[in-house]
Amino acid sequence: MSPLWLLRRIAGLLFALVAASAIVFVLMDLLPGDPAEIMLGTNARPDTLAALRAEMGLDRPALIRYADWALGLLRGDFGRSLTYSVPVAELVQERLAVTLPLAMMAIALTLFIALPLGAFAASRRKSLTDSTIIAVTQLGVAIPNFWFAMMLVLVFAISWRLLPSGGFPGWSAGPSAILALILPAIALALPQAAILTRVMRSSLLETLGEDYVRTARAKGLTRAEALRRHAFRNALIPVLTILGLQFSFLIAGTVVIENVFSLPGLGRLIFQAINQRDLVVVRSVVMLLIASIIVINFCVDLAYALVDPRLRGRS
Amino acid sequence: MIRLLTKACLALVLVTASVAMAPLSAAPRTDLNVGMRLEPPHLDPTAGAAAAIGEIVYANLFEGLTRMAADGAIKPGLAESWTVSPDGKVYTFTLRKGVTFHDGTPFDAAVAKFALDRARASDSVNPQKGLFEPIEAVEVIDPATLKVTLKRPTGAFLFNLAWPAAVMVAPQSAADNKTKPIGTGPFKLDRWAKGSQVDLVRHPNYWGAKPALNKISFKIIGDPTAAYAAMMAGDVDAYPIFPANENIPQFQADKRFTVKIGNTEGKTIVAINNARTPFDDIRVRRALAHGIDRKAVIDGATMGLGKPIGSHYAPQDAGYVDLTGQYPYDPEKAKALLKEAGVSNLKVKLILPPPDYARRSGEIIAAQLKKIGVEAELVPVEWAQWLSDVFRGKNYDLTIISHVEPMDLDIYARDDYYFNYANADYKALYAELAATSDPEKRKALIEKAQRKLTDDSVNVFMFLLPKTGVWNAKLEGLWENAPLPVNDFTAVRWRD
Amino acid sequence: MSALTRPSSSAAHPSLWFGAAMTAIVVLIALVSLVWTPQDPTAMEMTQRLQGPSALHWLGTDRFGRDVLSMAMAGAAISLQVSFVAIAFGMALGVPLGLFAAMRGGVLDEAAMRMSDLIFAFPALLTAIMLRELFGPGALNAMIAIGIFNVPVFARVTYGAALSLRTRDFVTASRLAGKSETLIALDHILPNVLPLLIVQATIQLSLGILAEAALSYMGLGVQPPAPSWGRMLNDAQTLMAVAPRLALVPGLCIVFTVLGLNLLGDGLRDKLDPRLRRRQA
Repeated sequence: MSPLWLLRRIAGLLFALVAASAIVFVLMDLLPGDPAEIMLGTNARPDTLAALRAEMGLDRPALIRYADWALGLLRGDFGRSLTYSVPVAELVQERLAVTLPLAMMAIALTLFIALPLGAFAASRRKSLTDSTIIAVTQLGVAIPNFWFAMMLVLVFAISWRLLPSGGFPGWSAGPSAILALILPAIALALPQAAILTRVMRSSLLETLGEDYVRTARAKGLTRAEALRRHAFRNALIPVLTILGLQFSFLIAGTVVIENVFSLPGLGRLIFQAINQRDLVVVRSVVMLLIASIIVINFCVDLAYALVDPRLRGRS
Repeated sequence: MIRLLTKACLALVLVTASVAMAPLSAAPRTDLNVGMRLEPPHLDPTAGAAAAIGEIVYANLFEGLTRMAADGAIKPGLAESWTVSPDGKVYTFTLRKGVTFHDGTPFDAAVAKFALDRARASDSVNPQKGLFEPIEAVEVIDPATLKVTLKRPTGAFLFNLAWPAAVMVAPQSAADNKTKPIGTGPFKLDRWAKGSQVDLVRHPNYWGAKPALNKISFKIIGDPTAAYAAMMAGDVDAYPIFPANENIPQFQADKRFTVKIGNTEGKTIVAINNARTPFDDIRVRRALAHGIDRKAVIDGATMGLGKPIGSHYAPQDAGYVDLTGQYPYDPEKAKALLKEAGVSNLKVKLILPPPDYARRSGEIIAAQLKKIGVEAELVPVEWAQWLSDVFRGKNYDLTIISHVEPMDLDIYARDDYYFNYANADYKALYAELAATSDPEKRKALIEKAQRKLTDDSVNVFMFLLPKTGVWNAKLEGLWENAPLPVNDFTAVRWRD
Repeated sequence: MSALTRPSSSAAHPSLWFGAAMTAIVVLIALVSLVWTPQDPTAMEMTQRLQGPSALHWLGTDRFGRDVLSMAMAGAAISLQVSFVAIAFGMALGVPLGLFAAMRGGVLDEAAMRMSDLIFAFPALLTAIMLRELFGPGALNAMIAIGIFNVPVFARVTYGAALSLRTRDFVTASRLAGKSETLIALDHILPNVLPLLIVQATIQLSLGILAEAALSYMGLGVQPPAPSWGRMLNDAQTLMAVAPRLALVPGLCIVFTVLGLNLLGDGLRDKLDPRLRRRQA
């Protein structure tokens, strides 16, 4: 990987981050509604509202507030929540302790199911096993995750009472915290796993059709050997792309799933903060999400370059 | 493969569950898991209007000079008694002795003066600042005596002091009450896991009777399905207000639960912009009242649990008069009234805030209005927008909303309120009511005010939001009604 | 050797025919619902609420006494409409963007792909929430939110495929023969990317239907009185223990539609992808 290539990528990354912060700030400021009104409700008097706005620092000009926020971000200071009146970093930390393990569990489950299943199907192309796997993944892709979540709750929580239906007891509660994440993780992972299985399979079959693999097979390698030695590595490129895409999808997915299961995660924090017009929280958390997705995409690009040498030397 | 995985998971779960369930104690439980639909933004009732704040802290963590009893009566709180001067303007409170805050600060008249003065100060952020507006001066006579002088006689003053927004706070801790609430109540904050639960534990040095409970956990589970499953699984012992009326029959059929359909103060109305053409014509407003089938709305939006109301007043409150028969459902009459007013092809926007009752009522009402030739476009909004556009901006035709403040006949007398009612006769009537403290005379005036609002068909008055309480049948002492949006758990205990 | 002109037996592509049939059924129902449904899908009858299936209401009634079958039929039209428009929007912007970035390279490549990353970094649901807060909820917002989300998807897929094609011998040969980059893109790259795009569009269309359902379920999509599967699910949620039928009907409608589209796409891929065809021969 040439240093110049890397440097250009990093410059692009920084540019994207700065642009994103400006967009996020402007969008949040355009939102109609007033956090002070929401806090004080329908019986609030105008002087009370003004007092609260001043307390929240909302009476200052937009540019100063942007500078404050952006400089704060650089120092790692995310600001203070308007509604909860605690530092945003503290809130994010609490919420990440739910969302991150959930997303990790879901991704792990996705990979754990999809990669072997996809490879297995590809290696037995046109067999009954292949058709069965394809049929199952077709169904998996077709099921909306929130509907699936509702059904899981109906079966596992309401009818069988095996797993909690929602809520999160906190990590201090030990094993029951993990139990609380099982249904949400399954609901998130299965549709994703179905997609990834299909991508894995078709991508493997595609590389199997490539000349170099055909050559390898002509040289006497078995199908499975050709798969393992040559096709697998290249087949991972689209899988990586889709996995990158899925991460963003997963975050959007967690908003819905966190709502269905009443989990105190990052997605629900944003959802609530938007409704309460807790602009500081929304801004900082959305920025954090965007930054992480941009960085992940950057990593996917790097991974691309590592798996496929052809993409590196391009001028 | 997937099936295998599921089996493995189930096995794991079963093992863990059997281990966790092993010890079973014989003594009655002293902990309580309460389900809540919404999380409070913070825990300071003197700085936020969210009902969820009062539903956690009122009477449990914070106490006021007076307090609201389960039946809506005003009882002594931190003031053990009081006298009122003959002109109704001077209140002298005798405060309880030996009361301390959770941090050890003693409560006395100086603290009470601080709390009241803070609520009415110019930089106050109290959501109910209006309650303290009649106060002229607060004086400390001695540590156990507080004198409050009013600008004018105020019949509801003791009632006002019982609101969550009027609880007593101490000078040292007031600023941090949002996250570290320090009150005088029998419970103190143990832990707040944001987004999931708030735990209160017993305060050992409480001045009054020791409550039966040691610990109260408020679990925030807003999704109705999750709430239902949590109740069924026993993860939650009580929902003072269950989030979905649909499940009530199932709870009623299950012997493990007590179900109490009580009253709230939530008067649900179709608010009308009285200043906007053609709603400035009383015939059009009456046409709307005749054109909306209250029974169908109650059936469809509250599963038949809401009580019909005919004016802006709750049936359980003193001076109520039943006016639900004044505008019977009559589409033909509605059409005739519209025709008489010269209105045809009326197209309006019906703005709907987020709660289910509003969204569902809206769908039904739009379908009903269609039958009298009024095309209502549904515009769902979030609270932020509702507050800024409808409530402050008064930019709306119709909206559906529940007014939860108790006995709030005053809002129709306010200048610049979002109904744009502006009626001089009503204002005079209300001023007379506000200055009257004799209970019988007050009742007569309250009745008159209700009739006036219904006669003018200011809004379409629909139903009272039900308080759908569901709790473990072994629990007692929970409130059946909600005269204020609060949950007083001081008398709650487990029967064994 | 052209894959497209080769005759193929229907037996070789069962998924194609199953998918086509299922999709045709949904499209047909959607079209019929525009002119006729058994009952008015918006007509309420409170005395008939939460009725089970009967001769009058084949799939029963909902909480307002509306006919569930009619609502499900009308919901098909809405779902298809939102998803198709959104995906078309995403392709119309995304494919040229990816193609352009791959062919040009350099700073423009970098800028175009960073821009697509940036758009992509706003998850669709957040975009939808923002759009609702700014302009109010509605079908159009759902289309835009899903469409925006699809731009970078198609851009990235096109980009990735075009990059690897760009260095292929037949492209290099054309370039040496003096063909312009634009012509190469249109003549050689695009046709070869097309099968991949069709497969991706299939996934995206089904995701579009799912996204529309999720948005409506969260109250961000199609608004009443227009029926929608997502909103029917939202409505059914509190009735799960009382009338699970109300959650099953729209859920199965979504599954059927998405399944049909996916099978169709799979079959098309098998039929259209020359490399896969070659291997079958």
